Amino acid sequence: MRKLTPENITPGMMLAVTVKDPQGNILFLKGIELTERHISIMQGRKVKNVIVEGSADDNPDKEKQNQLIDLRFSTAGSHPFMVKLRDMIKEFV
Amino acid sequence: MPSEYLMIGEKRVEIKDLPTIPSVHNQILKIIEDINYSVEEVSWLIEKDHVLSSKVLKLVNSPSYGLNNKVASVRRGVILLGANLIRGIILSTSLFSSKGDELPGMWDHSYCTSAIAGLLARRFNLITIEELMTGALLHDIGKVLLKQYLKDEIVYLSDIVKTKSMNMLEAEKRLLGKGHDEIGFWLAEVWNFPPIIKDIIRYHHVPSETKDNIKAVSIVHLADIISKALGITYDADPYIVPFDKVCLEAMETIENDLADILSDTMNIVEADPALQNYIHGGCNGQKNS
Ligand SMILES: [Fe+2]
Ligand SMILES: [Fe+2]
Repeated sequence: MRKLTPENITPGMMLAVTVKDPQGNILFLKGIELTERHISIMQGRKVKNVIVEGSADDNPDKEKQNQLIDLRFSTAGSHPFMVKLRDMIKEFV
Repeated sequence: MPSEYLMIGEKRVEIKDLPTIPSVHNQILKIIEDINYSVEEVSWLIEKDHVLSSKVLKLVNSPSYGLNNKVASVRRGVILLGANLIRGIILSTSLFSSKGDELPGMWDHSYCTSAIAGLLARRFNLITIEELMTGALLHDIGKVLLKQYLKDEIVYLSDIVKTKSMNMLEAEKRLLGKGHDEIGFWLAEVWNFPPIIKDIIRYHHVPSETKDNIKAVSIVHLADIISKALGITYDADPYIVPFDKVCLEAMETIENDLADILSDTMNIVEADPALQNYIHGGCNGQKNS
C-alpha cells in the first residue's frame, strides 16, 4: 500500500482503503479501480490522502522516516500486531 | 478517599500544593458541575478565551465526531461536546501550560490520542464516547505533577531515556518508584473524576490490569500507541511503551480494520497543521497552542 494525494493518482490504480471525505463520509469503497471521474470527485470533496495498492518508490527521505519509526517501536515488544502496525505506519506517513 | 499526600520519589506532594487553575477556567468548571448549567453562560465565558474556543471547535470538528457540517459556533460546540469534554479541555489547557511550566507537545499528543480514541470508539460501538474522549485527553495528566515538582529528576529521567533507550514510564518507575499513570490516578481521585476516566488514566499502559471498562481503557491504550508511532509525542521520549495484547481481545476485529483506522487517523492529522509538523519534521518541541 502507499499513500497518495488525488493529484498524484493515475487512472487504473487500485484503491486499497475505503476513501472518506474530511467529514468522514464514505466516497468510494476499497477494491475499485480508479478513473479520472473518481479523481475529480475526490479533488472536489477535498480528500487529502488516498491509499492505493502497490509499494512506494524508494527515496532517501523515506529511509530516514522508516528508521525513526523503527526506533519508536524498538521498545514496543515483538507481538505480531505491533509488527503489523509498524509496517503499516511506514506506508501511511 | 485519596490520601492527603503522594510520595513521588523523595518528594511529598500535598493536596493543598496542587497546581492552581486560572480563575476564569475555575469559574466555568464550577458552573458545569451543575447538571442544569446554562449553555449560554458557559459559551459566553469560553468565547472570551480564544485558546479555549479554538480547542472546542477543533474537537467538535474532528473526524471522530463525523459531523457533516462544520461547526462554527462555540455554543453549538458546547452542546455537542457535553460537560465532560468541556471539563477535559479546560483542565488540559490550564494544566498542560501553566505559566513557565509548559509541557511542549502535551496538548497535541493528548488531542490526537483523544481524536483517535473517538474514531475507535465509534467503530466498536462504545456508547460512553464522551467520557472516553475526555479520559484520552487527560490520560497523561500525571506528567503535570512530575513537571511541576520534580524538575531535577525530569532532567535525569530524560537522560536515562536517551542513553539507555528505555521508555519514559519504565524510567519513572525505576527512579521514582511510580509512573505517571499511578501519579495521574491520585490526581483523578483528588478531583473526583468519573470512574471510567480514572480507569483510563490508571491503566492506559496496562489495560489487562483494569477490572472495569476494559474496552474503553484498551481503546485509549491503542490510540496512545498510534499517536506515538506517528511521532506526535512530547518530553523527548520517542519510545512506545510495551503493547498489552489484552486490548486485541477487547477490540475483536481490529486487525482487519487497521488500514481503515490508520487512514481515518491520517485525516485527523491532515486537518491540523500542528499535528502535521510532527509527522514531517519529527519535532516534538512544539509550543502548546
Ligand atoms: Fe502515558
Ligand atoms: Fe500518552
